[in-house]
Amino acid sequence: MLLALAALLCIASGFFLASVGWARRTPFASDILWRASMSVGYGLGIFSVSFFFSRVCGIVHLAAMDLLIFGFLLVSLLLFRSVFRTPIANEIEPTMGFDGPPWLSRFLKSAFAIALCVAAYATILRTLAHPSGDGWDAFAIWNLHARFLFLGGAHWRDGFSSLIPWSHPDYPLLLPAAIAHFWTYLGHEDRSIPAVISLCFTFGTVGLLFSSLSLLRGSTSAMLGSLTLLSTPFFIAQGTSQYADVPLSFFLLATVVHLCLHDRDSADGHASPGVLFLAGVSAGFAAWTKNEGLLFLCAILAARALIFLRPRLTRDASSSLPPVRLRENWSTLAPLLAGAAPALLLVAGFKHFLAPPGDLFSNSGVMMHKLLDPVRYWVVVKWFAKEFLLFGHGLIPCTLLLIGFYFASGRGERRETTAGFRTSRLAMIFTLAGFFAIYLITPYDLYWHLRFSLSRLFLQLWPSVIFLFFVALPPGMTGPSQNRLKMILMP
Amino acid sequence: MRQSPSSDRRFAVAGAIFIVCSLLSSVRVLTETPTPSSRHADNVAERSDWRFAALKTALPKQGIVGYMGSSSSPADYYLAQYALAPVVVDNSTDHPWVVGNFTDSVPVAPLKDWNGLELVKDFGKGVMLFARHPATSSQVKPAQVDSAHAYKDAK
Repeated sequence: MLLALAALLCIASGFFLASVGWARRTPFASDILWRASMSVGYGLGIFSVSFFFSRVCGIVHLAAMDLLIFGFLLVSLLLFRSVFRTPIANEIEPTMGFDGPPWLSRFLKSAFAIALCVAAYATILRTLAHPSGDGWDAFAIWNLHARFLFLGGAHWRDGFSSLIPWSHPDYPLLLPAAIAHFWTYLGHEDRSIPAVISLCFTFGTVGLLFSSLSLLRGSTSAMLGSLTLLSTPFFIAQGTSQYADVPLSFFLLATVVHLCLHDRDSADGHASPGVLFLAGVSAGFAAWTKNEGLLFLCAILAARALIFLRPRLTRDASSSLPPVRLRENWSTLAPLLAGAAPALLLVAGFKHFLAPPGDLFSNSGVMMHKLLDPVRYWVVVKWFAKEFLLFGHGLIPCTLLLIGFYFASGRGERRETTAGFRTSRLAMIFTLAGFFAIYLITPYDLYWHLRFSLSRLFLQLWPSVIFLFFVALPPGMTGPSQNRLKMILMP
Repeated sequence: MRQSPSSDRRFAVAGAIFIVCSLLSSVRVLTETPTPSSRHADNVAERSDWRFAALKTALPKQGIVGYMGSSSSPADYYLAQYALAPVVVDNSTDHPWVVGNFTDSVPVAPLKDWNGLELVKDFGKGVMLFARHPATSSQVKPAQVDSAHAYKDAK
């Protein structure tokens, strides 16, 4: 009963946050899927932050605090809707989609259904086979931190002791605190909680990818994109491992999707600052999930600023979209920052007051010596290239599959790209550059570090890459599809 | 803005190949999935929670204990920490109370007096608790003292 209440509060809180400034869109199924996916991710993020807050402040009545947050989000949503009322638009620009021959459409639907069933079957069996997670990091980092938060009582800070540096006590706490929150409702530890949260993020990522592509590019693109993700064996394996990489990939994808949706709406004159605010919130939750999320948050802010300050540097030469409106509209940066600020402050406070220093940064002399070593550059380049070519553990490497599809399906015609798309693309490049730099200065054996982490770093970006790929893919064989989006203000 | 039939065919072929290749990767997802018949007991729980359950009830609810083990793999130490949380398990014997985790073979001879440690209790399955002779303890932190007192009270 208490668990059901916790789940309800979690999803409802996520729903209200996801609904800030977000107008209902047709098709109805995509809208529902979008809200469900975002509600689960945001709800878990809110539960995590609220649990951590309760621990820091010594709040005992967790359910009361959750109800308070629930009420606060509801009132905020109503206030936001009354202040930033978006004009009702019956129809906005038609989305571009692929209307292939009927047999291809049937084939794609069947393939998508098969891939979804296979993924569901695989995740369930993997979870049953490894109920405590698959791999060391599950119990040595994420679930261990959850135990310290839940069982530690007044001594919960012991989990961040420098005596156990291998548990990475400097890692942010979205996943452990969300797990501990549910355990607190249950009153005891239950191994099914981390497993279910893992599955929620895995299928939430698939749902978010499907619904966002459906909203922006139509159902065929949505199915192709989701098929790509569902048939990535490494994604399915990691999705049940109880690591934080798939949850992080969810929030990265949510950030990118919100940016693209905002700027698409902006071009139509229906933009709501709430969507951009949610992009910031998503990036903030990413920073609260893993240190790589903090890197991504910095990357997205830097990319957004660069797009506004130097639009010519980042603008496609062939683009005919008017840059003036976005460049001059500095107010679009403010909601992004406002959305990211709470989590950024939270992470900063956690790093400053609680967590010991991270393990990646040694003294500056050693780091400089490594930065000047050309051999390390060559090694990292080789591993990046190898991982790029082999990524996903599929029978055919997933990255090569996308590249092949791009060239085979009419690369001559290019889509116009919005500032949101270009911001996201640039942020991905910055993030990859950040990964590259970290490997250059790593205090660990370089080969060991690359071997055990690079594929997971690529995985974090993978859903966003798929999304951006299908958003940017040439229109292919069709003109505007018949499926039109309607935008109706939420009552 | 309808495109040419050749472009239509090209996309259709590309799309079909893409779908087939994706399905082939889904086959790999399937082949890498453990079969229902191959399910076994939870390895992590078996090596941590179940193994250290008796010791955990004897330890205080918080504090720091030392650790020594027979395995060269750090996994056994990580699992011990996972099982005993929220007690911090430091991979060092320089503590008043030290957890012994001997997964492979139990060092019978040194148990009586090994580097200033004295066996307090053997919990079975290679899990033991040692106490350091007060005279040989070089660093005693307040939290460790708390742990020690709590353990004595529990006894």
